[in-house]
This record gives sequence, C-alpha cells and structure tokens, in this order.
Amino acid sequence: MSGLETALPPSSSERVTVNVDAEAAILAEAEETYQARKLGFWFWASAGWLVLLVLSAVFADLLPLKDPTATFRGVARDGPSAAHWFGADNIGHDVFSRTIYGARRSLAVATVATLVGFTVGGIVGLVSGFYRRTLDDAIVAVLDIMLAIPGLVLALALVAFFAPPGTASPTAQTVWATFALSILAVPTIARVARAQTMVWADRDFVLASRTLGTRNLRIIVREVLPNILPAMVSIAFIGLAALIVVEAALAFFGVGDVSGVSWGIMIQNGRSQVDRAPHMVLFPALFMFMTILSLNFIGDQVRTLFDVRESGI
Amino acid sequence: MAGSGTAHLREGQEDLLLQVEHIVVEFPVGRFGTVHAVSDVSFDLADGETLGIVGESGCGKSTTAKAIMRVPPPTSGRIQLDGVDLATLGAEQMRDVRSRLQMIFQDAISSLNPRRRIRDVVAEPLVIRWLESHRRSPLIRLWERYVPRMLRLWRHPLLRRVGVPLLIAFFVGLALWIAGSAFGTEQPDGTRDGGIVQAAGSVVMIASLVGLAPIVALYAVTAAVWVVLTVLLPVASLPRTYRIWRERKEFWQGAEVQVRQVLEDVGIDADTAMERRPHEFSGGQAQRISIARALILDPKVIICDEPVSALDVSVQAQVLNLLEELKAKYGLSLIFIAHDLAVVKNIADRVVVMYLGKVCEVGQPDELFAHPRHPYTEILMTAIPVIDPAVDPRVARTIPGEPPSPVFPPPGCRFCTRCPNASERCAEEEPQIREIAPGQFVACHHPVAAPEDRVADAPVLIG
Repeated sequence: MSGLETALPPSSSERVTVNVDAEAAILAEAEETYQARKLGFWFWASAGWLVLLVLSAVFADLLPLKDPTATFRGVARDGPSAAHWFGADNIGHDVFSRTIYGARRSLAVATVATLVGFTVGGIVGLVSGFYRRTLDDAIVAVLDIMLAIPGLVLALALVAFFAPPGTASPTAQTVWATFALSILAVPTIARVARAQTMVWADRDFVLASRTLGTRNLRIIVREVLPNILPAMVSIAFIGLAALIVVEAALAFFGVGDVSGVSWGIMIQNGRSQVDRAPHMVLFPALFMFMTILSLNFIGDQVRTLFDVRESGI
Repeated sequence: MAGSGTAHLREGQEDLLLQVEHIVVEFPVGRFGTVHAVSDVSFDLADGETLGIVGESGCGKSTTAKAIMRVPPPTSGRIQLDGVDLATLGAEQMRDVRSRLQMIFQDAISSLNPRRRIRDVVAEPLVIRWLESHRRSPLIRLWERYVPRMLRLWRHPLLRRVGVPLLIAFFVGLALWIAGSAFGTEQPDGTRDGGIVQAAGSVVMIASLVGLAPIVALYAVTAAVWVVLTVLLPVASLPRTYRIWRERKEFWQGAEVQVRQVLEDVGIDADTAMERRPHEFSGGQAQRISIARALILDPKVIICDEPVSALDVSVQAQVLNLLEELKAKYGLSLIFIAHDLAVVKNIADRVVVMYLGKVCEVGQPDELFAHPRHPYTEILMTAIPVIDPAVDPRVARTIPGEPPSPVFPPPGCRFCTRCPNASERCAEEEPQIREIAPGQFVACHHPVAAPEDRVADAPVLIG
C-alpha cells in the first residue's frame, strides 16, 4: 500500500459497497460470537445447583429440616428412608440435615478465604506485573516459595500450630483455618494477575494513558484492572473449588473447629463405616463433588462470557 | 548515512515550536548489552509545519517519538518545547506540558481500552487535567517524591555491585565452614576441628555479614517508610476525593459538550458512538476516535506514530485528509512518522530520513524525493512500487539483507555495511550532516550525484 497514487484519492466516499460474500461471512462470524457468548445448559445447571445449595445453607434454620445435632433412636447407620432421606450416621444423626448444615461451614470458610486471597493476590499480582524489575523479582521469589510448599501441609501446620485442636476456642480455630486457606489462594491468584497485567500493561492504550500523564494508580485501576478481572474471577472460582476440598481435608484431619458440622467432619466420621454404611460418606462427598464441578464449569464460562471481541473487522 | 550533526537545524528562526537536539535513547539488554535505538538525532519543528520521519522498521522512528513524549524519556539530549527542556523536567512539571503535546498510535484499536466506552476514552485527557487541578494532600506529594527516589536508591548499581559479592562471600564462607567441620581432624570428644579452613570460613562469614548489614537495613527502613506512607495515603486523600466527587456532575456536563464537539470534528457521529466500546468500530473509525482524544486538550503538537499504516488504502486517504483539515482548524503542528513514502510526500513540509538510529537526510519532500542525495534515500525511493506494466521490478536497485543489530551498530557510518557507495572511509569516520543543496541536508561521504551532474540516460528512479 505504498503506491503514490493509492494515498491520493481525496474524496473517496465514506460508503463502501460490501460484496455479498463478505457480508455473509460477517453474519456467520457474528452468529458464532453469539453462540460462544450464549451460556449452555451446563452453565445454568451449575449455577442452579450453587444457588440452591447456598440458599438452603443460608436459610437452613427456616427449612423443615431435622436438628443436625439431634440423635434419633434406633436408626444408627440405617440407609436412606422416608424419614431420613440420606439415612443416619453411626450415632443416629440425620445425614440429610447435616449435609445441608455442613455446606454452611464449607462454603463460608472457602468463600471468605477466596475473597481474601483474591484481594491480596490481585493487588500483589497487579503491583508485581505493573512495576516489574526489582519489586517483581522479589515478589515472584516469595510466590515461588509459597507455591513450593504443599498447600495442605502448610494449612495443617499453620492451624495446628496457632490454633491447636482442644486448646484454642472454636472461633479461633475457624479464623485460623480461614486464614490458612487464604494464604493458599494468594500465590495462584497473584500469578494469574501478574501474567495478565504484564500482557495488558504493554498495550498501546496504556502507553496512550501514560502520554497523558496519568498516574500509575489510575492506570492500574482504570486501564489494567478491568481487563484482567475476567481471568481473575475465572481462577477464583476454580480456587474456591480447591479450597472447599482443602477445608474438608483440614476437618478430616481434625484441625480447625471440628465440634460443628461440615462435609469434611462427616466424611471423617464415616470413613471407618464405609463398608457397612456407605451413605455416611457418599452424600457429603457427592454434594462436595457437585459443588466443585459446578464451580469449575462456571469458572470456565466466566472467561468466555467476558471475552470482548477486540477487533471489529 | 547515519550521521550526526546539527547543520540542518534552523537556529534562530522565530517560529520554532519544538527543537530536538542530540537525543539518544538506549535500552539495556541482557547483562551487558545496550540497544542503541536512537543515537544523536536532532531535528526541529516550526509552528504549523508537518515534519515527516521515514525509515524502515527498527530505525528508531517510534522510539524517537516516544522519547519526546517521555515514555520512556531519552537517555540524553534536549527536547525544547516553547523554550522548556522536556528532557530534564520533573514528572510533575511534565504533567503540565503534556496537554500541549499529544500522540496517536499505529494500532488504533489497541490504543483504545476495550473495556471503556468511547465517551470515557475521549474524555480521559479532560478527566486527568481535572483531577490534577485539585491540590493533592502533602502526604501524597511526599509519597510521590519519596517513592521514585526510593526506587532509584533500591536499584542503585552500587548496592548490587557491593551486595552481590558480599552475598557470594557469605556463602563461600559458609561452605568453608561446613567443609572444615565435616572433614576436619576428629577430636577425642567426637567433634571435628576444622582448623584453619573453618576459622577462615567464620571470618569470611562475619566480615560479609558486617558489610551486608547496612544494605539490609537500608532496604528495610525504606520499605517500612513506604508501607507506612501507603497505608496512610487513602485516609490522607479523603478530603480531596470528596471535593472531586462533589464536582463530578458539573465536570461531566462540560466534558460531554467537549467530547461531542471533538467527535463531530473528526467525523464520528457522537450520538451513536459515545456509549459504544472500541471493538464496535472499524480501524479507520477507531483512528478518528484516537485523534479526537489527542485533540480534546487543544494541543500544539501531535505526534502521529504511523497513524495510517494499519488502515485500508481508501481509509488512509480519509484519515490523512482529516489530519490536514484538523491541522488548519486547530492550528496544529504534526510530527508524522511513517514508512510509507507516498504518504509522507503528500502530507509533510519537511522530511527526515532515518536509518538505524541516525539521521541520513533532511529536506523538502518534493526535492528530496525527486533528487535523493543519500544512497539510502535513493534506495528507499526505488522500493516504492511503480504501477506501470512496462517497469520490470527485477531491475529495481535493492539492497539485500536487513539493518545490522542496533546492539552492535557498525562503526563510522551506520549504513556502510549495505551501502553501494561505501568506501573504507565510511567504516571509520562518521559523516556529519551538511547542506548539499539549498534546504537539503545529507550525512554522507559519497552522496548521490546531483541531477544536473547525472549521465543523461540514467534511469529516473522516482515518479
């Protein structure tokens, strides 16, 4: 396009006739985009499951559920029945009611931990990816060290050390468990945020913003952050799923507050009875499995949902 | 080519707006390497003029433009805008100047944030000016002064030059100490005496720790001050935030009028465009929008970094005409960077040809394009495709290969490795820019002969 003549036409018309083929191609592409943006059945199934679970966990007290701490006579280890939908455990607790109540703790601890990890990891990743150089090197070194320590071991060690079971109050144990989980979430989210920040901070619109004399904080918040959020939200959903597992594992190992009801505690209680009363482990495990699957599905879909087409042509 | 010098500068001329003198831009690569992106380039821009900068990819055109905008600032050199040297201005004073100096980019869509609406994108310069007009709290100003200094201190080469050897010494000492204790002679009580090796290890370790202590303390104290300031910052800026928040409606009313006006000026229908996002526009429209963003502060100089290279040919012409129109309407001066010579010929009043970070030739486009005097310019001209079936593309004079690496630029004239006219002198002595014809300047030891000296039947290379 470097011919002299080519640049000359001074008054070429704004209206350009688009030939039919090109138009069809554009329509096909638009259709494709629309299809990609449409959320499929599995997204809605996942979202439906999560909404149902969260609502029933939050309003468990208002639902006609049996008392999760009550022991019923003569039903210990019995399988599902009309009176006890998911059966009863080895001392006669209603498994259905405990599964619903157990969701409270599992979801609450994992959600709070993810939010904390999301905020801290997001800020760390943004700062690291935006300023680069020495600061980035230092932060990456710390993140690498955190990633090198097995997550479950770190969480177990932290909670067992700072809130030993038996001596610390239940609240302290729960708080420390949440804190330990949020520490696990930080490096993963920070890594994603950092990598995305590096990509977006190199774009011309950030340069354009710099040429205006925009301050770094505003560039980070207004130009970079909105672009990296989809990837971060996506990874946060997947991280939430992982933290639910870790929370259950902590409970399984008996650290954190084990006096209450949670999926991990239920599985721990039922593990020795799997041959005689598999429903004790099966139902909380199934709920956990479906929740994690849903979160992963949604995490994947969030990316497609927020994926803005960058070029109009 | 590739020469230095300032013979082409119009010193003393009254209406000079921007004077760029001896700017050098270098980037570190790897551990010891340096990219000599721009080496001693000078040019000036008169009021109302369009200066074209041409050259092949990687010749430092865009880096020069960015250096003027100070993203990043030049390594050395002077950039005078209205008598103020931008190269040495502090970041804060530079903010005041930026409204007079704007830039548009090659990839228009990429230069607009895909997540923001056109209204916000175009109003952004106004928003920045508005935000900056509110006085910042003393604590923020302290933070702004402190952080860059701290970062400079942290990156101070001395710390690394002293710290890294000390760190290595510490580990060597540790290794000696361990070796001594592991392989020393065994004592009656079962321990081992490392003897001189272990003692030397201890001494090295202690000495290196003594040296490291002040460095660690420096890092710790500066970091602590930074953390404290950062935590206090949001609180300290609350009154300012409140003032800004209170004014926002008033500001946006005014801003919307200006955004509308400037969008209409660049030929975008404001009503439909304002609420849309950049990906809904074509390349040409996006470039118009980014021109609108550059115009909204009513600047004096706009630096156009290959503004039409990424556009369709028909759209190129529209955008070029728009630039010409706006230049008259807003009283602009343009620095127009391109590798498309035809475009530059049409729009520029003066052309600078660059090669590998140096200036080759400067002149009026008509004269320069008709009678290029620098061998590189001449070869650039022959690279323009001629739309004429009678012309055999195989006879065009081209030069093989690519420009040499800017990490190791050739000594002497930087073009000497590919120049058809090169002699031994070219590899040793860098040519200085000199006036070879009235208004035409060239940096070459063996310039192409003037038209009147040419043999009659020599092919005329450019149309």
